[in-house]
Amino acid sequence: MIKVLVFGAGAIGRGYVPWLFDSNHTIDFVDANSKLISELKNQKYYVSFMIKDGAYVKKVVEVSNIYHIDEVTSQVVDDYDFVITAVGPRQFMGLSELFKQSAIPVVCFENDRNLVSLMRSSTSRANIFFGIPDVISSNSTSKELQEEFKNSLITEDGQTFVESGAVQLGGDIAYVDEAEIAKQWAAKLYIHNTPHCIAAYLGSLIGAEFLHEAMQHRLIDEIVTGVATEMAEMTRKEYGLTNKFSMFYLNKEIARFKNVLLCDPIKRIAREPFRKLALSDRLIGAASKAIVNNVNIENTLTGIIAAFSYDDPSDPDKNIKILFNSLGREDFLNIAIGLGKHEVVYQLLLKNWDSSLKLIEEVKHNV
Amino acid sequence: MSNLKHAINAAVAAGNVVLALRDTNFSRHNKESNRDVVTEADLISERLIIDSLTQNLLSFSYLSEELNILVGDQSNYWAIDPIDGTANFVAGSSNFCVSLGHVSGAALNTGVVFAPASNDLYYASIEEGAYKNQKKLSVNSCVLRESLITFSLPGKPDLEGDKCKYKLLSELNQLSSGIIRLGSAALHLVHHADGVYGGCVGFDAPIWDIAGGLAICNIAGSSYRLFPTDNEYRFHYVCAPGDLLDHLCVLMEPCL
Repeated sequence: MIKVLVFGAGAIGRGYVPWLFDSNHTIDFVDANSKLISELKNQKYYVSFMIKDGAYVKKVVEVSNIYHIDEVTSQVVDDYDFVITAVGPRQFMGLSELFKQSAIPVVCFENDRNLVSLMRSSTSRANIFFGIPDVISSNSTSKELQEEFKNSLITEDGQTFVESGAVQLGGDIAYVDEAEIAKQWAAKLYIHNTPHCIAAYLGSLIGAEFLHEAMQHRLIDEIVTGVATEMAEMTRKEYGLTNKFSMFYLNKEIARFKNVLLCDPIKRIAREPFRKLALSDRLIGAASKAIVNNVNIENTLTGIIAAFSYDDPSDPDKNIKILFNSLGREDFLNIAIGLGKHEVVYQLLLKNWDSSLKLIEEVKHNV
Repeated sequence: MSNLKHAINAAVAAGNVVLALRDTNFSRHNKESNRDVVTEADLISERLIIDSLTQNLLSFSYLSEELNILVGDQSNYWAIDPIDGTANFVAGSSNFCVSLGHVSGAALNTGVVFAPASNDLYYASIEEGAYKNQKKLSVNSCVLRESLITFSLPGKPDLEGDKCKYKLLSELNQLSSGIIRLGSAALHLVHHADGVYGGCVGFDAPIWDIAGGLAICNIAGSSYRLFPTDNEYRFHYVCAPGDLLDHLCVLMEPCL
């Protein structure tokens, strides 16, 4: 029996990870959401739905132990055979002190690859592995399903790639070499992440709650497919992905975004726009790589400008709205985004600003 | 958000002009002392801010450094420093900023400080919270021995009073991790809000120097106390979180 402790009881951690393992594994959870912890402790189980062949398959997951992050010491961690992290990048490095004091192997999902390297060096440990769950999971379900199955989630039937050093974890995981990880990561980072969040920013402009609702809008579909095409071209030129693989990945992603069974909340995908707009991340970073490779990125630039105007008062980065409404375009790029005026992406954003705003207005008015 | 929006807009526009003027042959003259300087850039910045806020705010009362007269409602006005740290500006240092703070009765409810040379924009309102560029600001508690403390002296010399202040400066230098004097009270305060300095002490500071910075510190979770002087718009002040505020107040007491 392999005992697994999962940090992050969200879409990936609680929705998808249990599907990876069979009865030879037990799973416990750690989270920071006291309300969720208390509800799951009372419920003693929850339901994760997997989409297979256009229908839901139900999995009842027993909750034996779920800890609040503040309760977890190295002694708790040492009681397990493997740790999986499925937390956001802002929370991930907060675990380094804990991992320094434990030798239990860690597989990190849903994080920047560089952060995993940083975690290895900051903990002086080699048995921290990078993994890519190639799947979209939603931390919620439809209202009807929530009424029947409180705290239920939905996940796709995807594939997971993990560095081969973690093979002892077992389960339904492909343990692969460095070249395969690099290929999958480039595709996930740009052919998935970039159009995925742009679809959410455009969807928020028309008040869509779920991603598939946004993708039902003709113009949004066109822009998002355009972004995915631009990113596929960039990854071919920058990372040497084959035409066949990049187009397979693109088509798979667009079909995922449109999946009406997934109920992927716009708010979750669009969360923390400043993080996504960081100079090396999926928006500005992706655009910069495309520019260097001479890729025309008209759609991506429109998506970035849609991200600038994101408005969610409950978001940790809600101040993006204050800055967007207060500053002129050049000052916004400079002060809010950190782009210098000599950078090509800065100049292209300014050049495309008006046409992008016009397109965004069309999106809003053609609901 | 409307007040904050217009204050950000005015501060950044003025700051950009000030930065552009730094490399020109601007005129200057001294006011109350060698380090109390006014330049052409101060006057242009002040005009830009007043014009911008007059145009954009429904009701706009203000007290600005160079005009030095309160225009409008005494209980509800903007305190404007068109360049805080003018001596630094003249010397070519980057430690200067534009500072705006909204005074409403005894409360400071909005603050904007823009340091154009570093492109650092600090902004806060009670409704929206306190930020530096993208980042949310939150001040944590700290103790004196582990803190850098900023120390601001008045522009006008006061031979008797200064002895006490220099004694306090020496004492704080021993008790803390060190004393910082950047030559801009507003920058002292916003760096405190950003977690760089543990606390701020200052004497005989005009409200336009400190209103923006204190508002940002307070909204970021720090606390402040103002002590009156013989001028209703000048204050001795201390700003620090929790117990450190009380500790600094006790040390300052002989100079008040």
